Amino acid sequence: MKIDEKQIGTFVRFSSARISDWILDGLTTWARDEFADAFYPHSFINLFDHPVEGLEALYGASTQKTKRAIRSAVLRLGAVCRRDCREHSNLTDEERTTLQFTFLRLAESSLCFEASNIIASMACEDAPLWEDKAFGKELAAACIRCLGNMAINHEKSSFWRPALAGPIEAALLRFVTSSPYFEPRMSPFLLAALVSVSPEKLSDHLTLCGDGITELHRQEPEQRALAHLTALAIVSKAPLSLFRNFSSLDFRYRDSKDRWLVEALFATAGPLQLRWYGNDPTKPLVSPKGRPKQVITLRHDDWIGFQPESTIDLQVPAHDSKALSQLAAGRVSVQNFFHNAAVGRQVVH
Amino acid sequence: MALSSRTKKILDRLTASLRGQIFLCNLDAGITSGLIDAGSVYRVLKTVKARDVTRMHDSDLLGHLKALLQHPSANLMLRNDRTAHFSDFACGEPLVTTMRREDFDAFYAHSADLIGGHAFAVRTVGSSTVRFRPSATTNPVVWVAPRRCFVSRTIVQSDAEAVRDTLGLVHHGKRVPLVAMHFQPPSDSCFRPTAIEAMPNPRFRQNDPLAVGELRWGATVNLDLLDVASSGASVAGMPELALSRVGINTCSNVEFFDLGETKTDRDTYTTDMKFLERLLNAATIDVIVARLEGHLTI
Repeated sequence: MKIDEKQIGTFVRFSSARISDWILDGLTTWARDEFADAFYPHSFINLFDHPVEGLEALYGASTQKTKRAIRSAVLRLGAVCRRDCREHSNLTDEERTTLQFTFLRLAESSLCFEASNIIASMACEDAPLWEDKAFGKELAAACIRCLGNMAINHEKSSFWRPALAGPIEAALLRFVTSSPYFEPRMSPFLLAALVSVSPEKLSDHLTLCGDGITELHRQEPEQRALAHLTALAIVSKAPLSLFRNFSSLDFRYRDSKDRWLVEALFATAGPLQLRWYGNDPTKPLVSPKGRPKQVITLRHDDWIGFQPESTIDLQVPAHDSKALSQLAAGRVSVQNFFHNAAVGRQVVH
Repeated sequence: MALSSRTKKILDRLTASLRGQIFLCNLDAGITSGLIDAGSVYRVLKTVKARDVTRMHDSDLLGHLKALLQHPSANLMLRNDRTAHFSDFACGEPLVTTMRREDFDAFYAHSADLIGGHAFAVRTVGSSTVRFRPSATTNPVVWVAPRRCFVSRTIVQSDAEAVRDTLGLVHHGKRVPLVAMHFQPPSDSCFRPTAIEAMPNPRFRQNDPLAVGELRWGATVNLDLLDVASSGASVAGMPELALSRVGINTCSNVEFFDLGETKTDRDTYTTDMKFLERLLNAATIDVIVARLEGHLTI
């Protein structure tokens, strides 16, 4: 389904409040299944498989003013589907669930950062209240996925302001510290999300999520081989913080708390490479893979006991950086990437 | 009973657009074959307000009609079909339905799995999962095709373009990531789709329920064939049926496959024209509308 300009023009003439009312009434009516045509008179929404898809299409094609109105409707929808909403206290569990997942989907696709508080409250306060614990867990995971994706993709929104980083970061931290549904498996995702919105606090985020990642590696050893993906996220989102705070990392021993990160950074598929010059093992040169001329000295005493997976790339194949960026964009499989990256590389230990 | 002026206006509005004409052709075929009750359609059309008929945008009117026809009041019977049998259709094999990846992520996927581990951002075409959200349900109407009819298992597990084309899902344009759900529903409750469920898919065509063999089901239009076929050549895709909303945890052998992205956009004015010509089958839209008016008058 495609929305034409004439239809978009209709919404330009309406006030924000009117658009917002139409969306909120439409979604609640649709969830309650009260009337056949919940989105009347703008019934084109019914032509999509799901109303959310229609609203997303409208959002994508709209003017900034209409987008603002849709975002305000998303915020109001979030308040409506909280369990303590008095105005809509008569929603059945099924209707509330439908609205909650609809809200999460709309908040994520429109990158409605202002909804971060509501989402955190939904995950930390509402989810544990469900009698069905499996559902509570499901809702909490969906909330954190939505928050994390908003944080990771924030740069794609024209509505992003640095001032919004604080509330999102607080919402993510609230989940880690107070939700009964937080699992070590979620740590890499949360770290990537936190680093995306507040890269300057990398060391704090590592302190918070590092234990979870170490625990994850202990529970699922196969995850260790994928840690370079988290390292990639850190290097792409917070390179300055990483290099600035590198001296404070602790990676001397196998069980040191930041060992996993340094191993992942310099893994075969990791984003960085090391070179050793002279006799001082505490001062290696580091450069991004594929850009050997871009170097920085990373002084650290823990290098003495560290043997990374690959140390010197004598000749870095040109396709490496392309493969890394493709992988970061999710376009190739990890297996394919490993295979391609191994071809033509000469590793000296 | 004479046709009301409002109903005539609705037919006129629909005749003015290509997609409206495609809908009218299928509505006529559904009524002619006895799958749709003409009297009920007439009573639903009469509930449309006069000012909406004249003022509504084409898409809004079509969407409004879809909502009214798919949710008729209790005393209306739009469907006469009681002859579809799911077991004959699937022959013990799973059914296949598709969805956008965004819909899968938001409404079907196990969220903790999506964000679990380090590889949360990596997607692999052809990868599959048997885990899903326990509370997930399908849309009110699920379109299904039997997996046994696909030429190869690889297609229905990893080729978004081929699956989209074979199932006639023209509304999925270019670079749309798709996910296929393979499943066996708990009951035999299924029905032959009509123009009412198919709105607004402009590549739907009503099959004669008295036809023999696989054609007794609905049959999708193969979008790839439609683009290249001459006017008389077959463009049949897969047999298709529709199911009512079903909870995923009540189904068996459920597996979701990442099909990757579609490569082309088949949703064009030219192919709309081409498809309408096939539906009209050398007749004109005036003939179809006149016949429809006859049905609705009775």
